[in-house]
Amino acid sequence: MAAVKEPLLTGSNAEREVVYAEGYWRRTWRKFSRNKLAVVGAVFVTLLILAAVFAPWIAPYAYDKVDYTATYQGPSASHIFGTDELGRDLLSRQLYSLRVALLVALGAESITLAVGSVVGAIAGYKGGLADNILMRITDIMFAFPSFLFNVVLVAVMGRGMITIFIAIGVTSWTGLARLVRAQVLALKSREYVEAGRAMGASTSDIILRYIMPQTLGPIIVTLAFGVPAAMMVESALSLIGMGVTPPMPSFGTLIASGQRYILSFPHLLIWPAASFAAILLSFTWLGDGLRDAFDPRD
Amino acid sequence: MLRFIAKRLAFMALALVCVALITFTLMQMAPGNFLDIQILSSSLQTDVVSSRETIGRWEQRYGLDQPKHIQFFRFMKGMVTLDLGPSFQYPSLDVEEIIQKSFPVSLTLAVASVLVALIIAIPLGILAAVKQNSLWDYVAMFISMVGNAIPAYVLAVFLMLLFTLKLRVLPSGGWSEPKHMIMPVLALSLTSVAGIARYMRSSMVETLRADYIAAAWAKGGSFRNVVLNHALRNSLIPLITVVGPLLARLMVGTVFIESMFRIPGLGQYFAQAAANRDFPVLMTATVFFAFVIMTMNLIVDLLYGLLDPRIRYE
Repeated sequence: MAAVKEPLLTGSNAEREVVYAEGYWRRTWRKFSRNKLAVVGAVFVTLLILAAVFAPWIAPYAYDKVDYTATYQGPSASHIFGTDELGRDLLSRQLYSLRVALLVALGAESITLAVGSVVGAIAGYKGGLADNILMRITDIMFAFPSFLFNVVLVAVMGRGMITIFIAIGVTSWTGLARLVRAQVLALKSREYVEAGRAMGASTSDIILRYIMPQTLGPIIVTLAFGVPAAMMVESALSLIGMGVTPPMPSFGTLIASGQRYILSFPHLLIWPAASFAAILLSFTWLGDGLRDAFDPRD
Repeated sequence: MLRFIAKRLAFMALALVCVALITFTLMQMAPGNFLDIQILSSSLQTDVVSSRETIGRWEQRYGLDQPKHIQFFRFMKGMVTLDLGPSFQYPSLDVEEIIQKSFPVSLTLAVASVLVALIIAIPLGILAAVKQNSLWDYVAMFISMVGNAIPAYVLAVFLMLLFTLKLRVLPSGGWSEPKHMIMPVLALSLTSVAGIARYMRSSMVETLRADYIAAAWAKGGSFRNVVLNHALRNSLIPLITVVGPLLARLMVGTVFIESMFRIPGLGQYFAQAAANRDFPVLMTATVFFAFVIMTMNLIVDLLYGLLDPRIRYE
């Protein structure tokens, strides 16, 4: 696992520091790999990511390929999940929905990570006015239901994938900022940080090399739970017609359109809903596993 | 106490103005408005002169020809005096009429869901706490995990498949008879059973460790007497902190459930207004939702202090 490459301190203390850093990651890995649900989740998530990345090569058909000779078909050898009202292959459409969901999650989590950790670190380390302003913004953001904000943002900026992940990113950084701030506040007066400061480390060095590595665990856990949350928001927006633009599919649009044929062609509803539920569950198992593994207690 | 309330109300007012201001600013930044969409999709686009006249008349009607800050103050005044003018999409309906008509539907849905969730979750939590690490405990925790991971609209799909497709006992949408309520309420409540049951379990576990419970057992109290009379009362108090935000979350969460089940609630109007850029409705609904959620949080905090005298306000 990721060991500290450069010892933070010189002399005999350096060795102890390196051993500690390795021990932390190794212990986390040991705890994680013993958790069966978490490993199942991790394996499944890896497969999902591969499927999403290689979707154009794996998908048996193009996601928007219309075939009027093969509409409303049930599952068969040529269409494993069947076809929709325009004869489009449901498996291919689900693979692209997965791609959309993961892309949105990636975009939203990048914004969350960048804004949340920077703002949190500055507020926690500097304190004073910066801290005050941040906390007031966070308070108001917490009072404002984030989903309403997402919908309003999409209504204003127009539909599309980039709009969605900006909308999610804008509303979801506050949680991470609060977490990083609390961590930084707790860590900045520790002895090893004092020692670094006494040895003349710059402020950016203190934050980036002394404090942030210690907050990595909680940040990873927050991001892991953020992924299924972002996927849910994306599909929910698509469900009410505020998501990605057709013909690009999303689990939300697949569910919304499948619902129209619930009595006549239920496969159009069953497969997207079941796949989406399985995807969300595997991400949640991975997140739960990571949370338990990074938990410093026990 | 009074000072606490006053302080909270002041923050609430400030936060609401911020919410309104942010929403208003965003809407001013939007490229294209409601009428552009309508003109593009109607025959008006062929006749440039008359469409320009139409826009002029339309802007006058909604006061959009006024400077931006006047528009904002008119909106804020409208919020306070409950006179918000007509909607873009339904020109014959005033925004406050739409809210008046649709909010009770959403509220009914949310309250019913919370009640059903409590009825399922409290016994489940008690069972899980009393019989720790038993089958009941694992069942409760499993439901908890699934409910947390899967959103209500996906659960709604599985309910539809069961009740509409398989058993054919419930209609897949609508809002005219009591039976229309069953599936939306179940979908919304099942996702919240998880959180409540988990909370109830840990609260109960903690209460059962208290000295006065040991004393009650020692005096030879029955299960019924000790758990249901002594312990339950105290372990219910922390639940209030969950129920308040839950009710608020459900009222926003009904947006999807309402559009799935074609229920004429505020969420449905909100989603429509967003899709059609019906800004008067969108703005009012946003501020209104925020108001409801903040009020709920305040009520919870006050109630909590009322029920548990150990809590002090600062």
